[in-house]
Amino acid sequence: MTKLLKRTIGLAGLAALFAAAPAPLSAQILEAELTVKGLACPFCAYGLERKLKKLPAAAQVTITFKQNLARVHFDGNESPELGRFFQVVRDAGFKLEELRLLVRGRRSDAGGRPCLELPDGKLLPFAPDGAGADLVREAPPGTPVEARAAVRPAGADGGAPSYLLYIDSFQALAR
Amino acid sequence: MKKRLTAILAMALAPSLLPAHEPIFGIGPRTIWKNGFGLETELEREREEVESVWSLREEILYGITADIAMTLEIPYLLEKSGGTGKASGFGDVLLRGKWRFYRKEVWGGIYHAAVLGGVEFPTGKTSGVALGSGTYDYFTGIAAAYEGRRWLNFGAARYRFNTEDKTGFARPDVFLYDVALGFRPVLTEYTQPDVVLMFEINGEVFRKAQRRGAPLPGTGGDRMFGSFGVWFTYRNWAFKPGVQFPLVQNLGPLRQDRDFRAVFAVEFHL
Repeated sequence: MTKLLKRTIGLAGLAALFAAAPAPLSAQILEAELTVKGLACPFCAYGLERKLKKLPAAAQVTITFKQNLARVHFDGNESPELGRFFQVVRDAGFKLEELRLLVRGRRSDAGGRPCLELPDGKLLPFAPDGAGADLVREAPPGTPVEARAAVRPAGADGGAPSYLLYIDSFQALAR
Repeated sequence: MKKRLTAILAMALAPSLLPAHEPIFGIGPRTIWKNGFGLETELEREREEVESVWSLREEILYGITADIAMTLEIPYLLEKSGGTGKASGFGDVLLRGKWRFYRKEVWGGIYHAAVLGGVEFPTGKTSGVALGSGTYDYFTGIAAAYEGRRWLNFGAARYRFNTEDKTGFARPDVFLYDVALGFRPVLTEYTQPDVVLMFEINGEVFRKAQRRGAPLPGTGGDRMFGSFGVWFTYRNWAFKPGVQFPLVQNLGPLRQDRDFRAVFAVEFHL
């Protein structure tokens, strides 16, 4: 009985230790929600599922017709270029109406513009005047952060299209 | 001579089916995703008074882009029987392309349109019971559709140019038109099996056959069919049974009337 009690206390202590530890910065784009208007039949949507599954680190793809939504869960240390989402949907024969991401990274700056830096070094700039821009500015550079944001094209930057994150939610994570 | 002419006319009028999510006897503007492949096997049964055909068609579809697709169709006639005996073997191979030039997505649906074109090669034998035409033939056309969650509407028009064979005989050019209405009784989700009921009107209007440029009497005319089919699809698999019956046949004395035509197709996208 005493042995069982000791083991239980020991396990509880271990669990508490893990709970108190800062959230590991292991993932980057955790989830992508793609709104695709033209989704109407499974046979036609299969190509979209197939293309999305080929994105780097894509772990699971779910498609719901009711919401005209494709959701991709990512698992791994790679992350796709944002332009890939638009390209992949186009190659599947559809148009990407809206892209929303759940991302985790570090608050960073690039050229005076607040960014989210992913562990693989990619920099995702925040929209300077979007909702939540104040929250981003308040977070000191280097802070681990998690954000849910819409991704919108911001024109071409040196030939390649660039994108901005428009924040839905933003929170600093414990270091 | 009359029998041969009849058999050749029959082949001229056999409309080509296209794979993908389309009407079963008609055609639609749907393509396949970029670098996507589709494979279709189609078992077809057709009877026209004294003539009876069992055939298999193998179709390979490839998406060059999401809006440009090529299809290679290889027909194999399992048994073709008529007044002059029986035969089996490969028919005329068909290569065709489709360019979807218009696409407008709406919530839960798509409006789109495509132009089509193709060439049929003289790969089927022409001696005895003919399995091929012996000529290079061409077709062009246009297809448009609205495909929504509940209702689907298709319309298409094609024109087939048939060229002269070695004897100077040219089968009649054919104008084909299709109108189709699809209905999805249950709005299922992506991971569930999907069923669509298809009702089609398929028409064929053809000019006179020619010998050395001169129209042949007793040829030409038109006919119209009513068709019913079902799409059973589950993700990248499609099963498409359909049957077609004549509504109007006005083909002249040289041409047999069609009794019915039935198709069972299995399609797989990879």
